[in-house]
Amino acid sequence: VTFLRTILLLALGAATPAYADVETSKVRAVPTGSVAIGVAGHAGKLAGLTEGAWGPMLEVALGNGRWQYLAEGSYQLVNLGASDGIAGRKLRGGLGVRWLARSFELGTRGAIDMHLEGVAGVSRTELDGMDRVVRPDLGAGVGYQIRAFYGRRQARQAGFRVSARILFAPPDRESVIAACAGSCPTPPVAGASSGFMGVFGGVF
Amino acid sequence: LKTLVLLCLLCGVARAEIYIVDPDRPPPEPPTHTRLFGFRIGGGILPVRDTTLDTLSLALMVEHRAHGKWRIAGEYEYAWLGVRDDEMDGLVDGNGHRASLSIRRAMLESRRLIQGTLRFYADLELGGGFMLATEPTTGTLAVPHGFAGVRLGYRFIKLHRETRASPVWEPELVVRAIATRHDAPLGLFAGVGINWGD
Repeated sequence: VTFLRTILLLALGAATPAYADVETSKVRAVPTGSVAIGVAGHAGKLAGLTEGAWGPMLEVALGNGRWQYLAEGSYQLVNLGASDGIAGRKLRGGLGVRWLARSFELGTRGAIDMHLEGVAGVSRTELDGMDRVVRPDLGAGVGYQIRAFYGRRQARQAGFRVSARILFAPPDRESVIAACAGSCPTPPVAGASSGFMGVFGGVF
Repeated sequence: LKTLVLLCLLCGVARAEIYIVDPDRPPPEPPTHTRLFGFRIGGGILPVRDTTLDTLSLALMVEHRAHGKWRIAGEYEYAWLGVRDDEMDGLVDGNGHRASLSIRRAMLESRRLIQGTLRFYADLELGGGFMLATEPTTGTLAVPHGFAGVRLGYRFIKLHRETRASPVWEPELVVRAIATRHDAPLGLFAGVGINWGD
């Protein structure tokens, strides 16, 4: 029994500090709850036509250590095709997770963090005079945020975040052809959409 | 058993780094160039198959110090490709993956400024890699490449002495000339990256 206790103590003694080094000590924890308000922009393809969109976005997130679990929504103005193409509006909602990969502390009251994130969402696009197009999407991104710590024991946080994402959406040729009803400026071609999404804004 | 417990507790602090702190001197530049991790966003032009593609890319990068001022770096890029027309259309027509390995050497470095917390640098880099992509004009692309470039940036060094966060932070501007074929014109890439040290 003594031998087993000794082995157990040795294992605990050796393992605990090593774990602390790797996982818990290098990044100041994210807040348990936060809200982000900003702008989301997107460039991609909708059934072979170039799609550009931008508009306000809102994110709410629950945090735990380095991790954040987020829900986001945005309303975007859309332009499909060339600059004088089809106009429209898009509503998009998504769920995701964010991990603070690295952090550089700006003294004791601030930090610049690198994050990696993944999101899954769905968007509903309404093009002028046409039916709506609903598409799911999947994204992976990277970015940075500048955090300020304030309040009693510096427990409160506020900052600014920038994220860049790769956003995949399935081809949706049929629905757009139906939506265009023959009025698309060029015939849409099939093809998966691999778009770029940028998000920036304040975090509170 | 008590002795063993004490030994265990001592094992717990065996990995702690020991700093002799002199408040009048700047903190030592940590051996951080040992490893960097970061990302970069950038764009450029890439001549392939008698076509010049516009590129936009998002990259993850990791670097290790090899020896002295030499570093070895690896990166993965997700790239958007296209032939842009008058309407600035088509940049996201295609997409692909690009992986590169490079070596990098500090050529110019400033003195440490602002109480030893900031240093400017200019590095040269040389590397190569491979891109696998699809684009409507060119079809499927499997293109090896080589590049030479410069990295201009600055390095913040541990602004908070007691921190155990990243000891170094490096934003930088990257400019590269990219060769894909001996008889093709050079491509060009420019981007902005940020690295965190370990």
